[in-house]
Amino acid sequence: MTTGNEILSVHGLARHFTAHVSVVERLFGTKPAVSRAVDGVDLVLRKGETLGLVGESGCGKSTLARTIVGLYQPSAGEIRYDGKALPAKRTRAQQRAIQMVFQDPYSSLNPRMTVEQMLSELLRFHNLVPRNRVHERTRELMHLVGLPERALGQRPRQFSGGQRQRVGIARALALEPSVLLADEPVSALDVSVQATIINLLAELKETLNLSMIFVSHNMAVVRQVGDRTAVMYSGRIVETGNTDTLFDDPVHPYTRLLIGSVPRLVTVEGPARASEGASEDRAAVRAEVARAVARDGTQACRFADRCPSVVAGCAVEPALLADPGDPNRWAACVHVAHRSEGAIR
Amino acid sequence: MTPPLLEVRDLHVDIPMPYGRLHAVRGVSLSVDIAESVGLVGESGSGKSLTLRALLGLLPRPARIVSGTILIDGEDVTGLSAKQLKRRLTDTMSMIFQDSLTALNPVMRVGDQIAEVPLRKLGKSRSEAKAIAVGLMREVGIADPERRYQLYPHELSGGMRQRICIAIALSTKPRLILADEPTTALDVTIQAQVLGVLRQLKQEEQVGLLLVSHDLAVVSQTCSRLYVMYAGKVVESGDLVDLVTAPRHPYTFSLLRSVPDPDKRVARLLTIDGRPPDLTDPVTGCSFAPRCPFAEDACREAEPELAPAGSARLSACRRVDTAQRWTAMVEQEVSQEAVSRQ
Repeated sequence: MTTGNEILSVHGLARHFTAHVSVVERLFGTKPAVSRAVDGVDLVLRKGETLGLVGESGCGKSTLARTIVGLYQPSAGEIRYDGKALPAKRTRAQQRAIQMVFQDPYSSLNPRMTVEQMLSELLRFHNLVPRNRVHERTRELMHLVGLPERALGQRPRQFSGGQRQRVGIARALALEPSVLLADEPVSALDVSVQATIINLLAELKETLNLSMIFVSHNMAVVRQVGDRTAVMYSGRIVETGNTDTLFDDPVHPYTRLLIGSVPRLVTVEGPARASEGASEDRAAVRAEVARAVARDGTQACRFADRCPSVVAGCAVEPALLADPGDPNRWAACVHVAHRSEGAIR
Repeated sequence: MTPPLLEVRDLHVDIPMPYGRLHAVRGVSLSVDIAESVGLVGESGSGKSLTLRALLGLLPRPARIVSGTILIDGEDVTGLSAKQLKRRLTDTMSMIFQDSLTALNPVMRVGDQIAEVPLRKLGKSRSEAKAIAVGLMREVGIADPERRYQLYPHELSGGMRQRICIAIALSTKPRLILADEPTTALDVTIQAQVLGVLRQLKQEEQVGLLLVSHDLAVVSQTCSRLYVMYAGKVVESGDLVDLVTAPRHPYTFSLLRSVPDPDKRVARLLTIDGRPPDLTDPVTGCSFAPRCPFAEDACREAEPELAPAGSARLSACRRVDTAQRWTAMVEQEVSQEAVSRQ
């Protein structure tokens, strides 16, 4: 992918989880089931941009975010920050540089600590400000996220959902990160509150010169926040591109399905909707793909069994390739190679 | 004129709390005609789910109905004995819940769960009941129903489970389905399919639908009429297209402008500052006034009642006559804000 002003990049990153195997099962030689939550992801985050990461539940987007932030060790691949590969054990400065805002601010904050205790613990541990300036800094942080100073004396349960998410953001910002990873930051909030948090994150990104990865299952939200968007399916990125072009003219059949499925306000009859009828016409092609996979032992395209445009060539998993028409756009689909010939639409 | 299939008049629901009574539903009236699909929209705590649950006597403890009248086909059923009432309600309506995994029996085959009502209530034989269940599964779009009949809930995906719940709801041959956030727990692609099933039922089976959701877009995909709830009251109601294109209550207006649009990027989303009132305290004035961009002093004094605002429209706003200018007023404010920030 393009290099240059990137701040964070991920190369062939994988994170697999292995199911527990009991002693008896082990005696019988049962192989543990492996879940490939993240399975070979390449991703670039440029300085000062917001990258939206979308996908359905179970596609691995949260695991990817948690691996990048260091909560999980990668099973393979590397994460590069500011040009250098991050080691398995990160230094404190490296830990600080990438911070996370969680979906549920209630379970991610210590219920027994006041906001001030929580923030000053962080500031002291990381020696971010002189001890006599800690209180001042916590007050600044409250201003930054739009909370009154008296919030410092309160505990998480005394806040509403939106305020609690602001505390979660203040916690992340206390460490002065340059990359903010927001994992479904507005999914637990009411619509009217959701808008305030989206606006806040956008403002903070500007004023603090942050780069942000915004993980969400909500296509409409990602459309509002992301400069670029990456679509994830079954542990892989299937398409990335500038947000507006990706939404207006999706290339990958999965992206099209996702965008077409978003319910719209009062549509007469919305754009092509997810229909199961279309998939039945392709049953013969799907069977052919399955036979080819069994014969050659290849990994088929992961979307092949749901894809409305499946062809025999889907028996081999496609690589993420640049779109001939748009260098910013990458997609992993056999059809993309033929796109210039107009074969896909 | 035929009376509506279901009518609710002045429903009040209370939740006793250690520190007082939470007046969660404060006089809700609504009606659903035969084969009509109606949406009930509001944010968390607006009382929309409690209203729905109160209709079937499914209120979670310790919430209870304080007063209110329920009419079915124009007949007041509130006076019936508990047993008769239950029978009357369950003959008319059935319900779909948000979380299909907890709504289903985990140790019973899904097919048997659908066949339960035909078997026990409609007096069908075992094989007849099974045939009915398979037919219902096919109707809600489950491919290969004979095989899936034998599965347990955990063996099915979320979308499939929600279809099973819809099939169970249909097994009583209801005239009205009450759905409480039926697609909220589902992925968008699956949500689109389940909404498709609900739309199809309305068209083909003439089953009415009362859909509760926080998502205006979801409601607009399935319903033709809408009630908007805020702080335990209906603040606006009317035909869906009218209501969405020309809101007559500032809450609906603000809500519509704060929903992100998947097809268009806006510079800044409109936000609704503040939070809904605490309903353990008596509400004085309009409950939305503290957050309303158009509130004036009179709004804070007396709570406005629902009043006609156009054809088949009701709005509980004192300033409804200024509705045409709301867009301009908000945009002026936004541009002033932008100027002052520079």
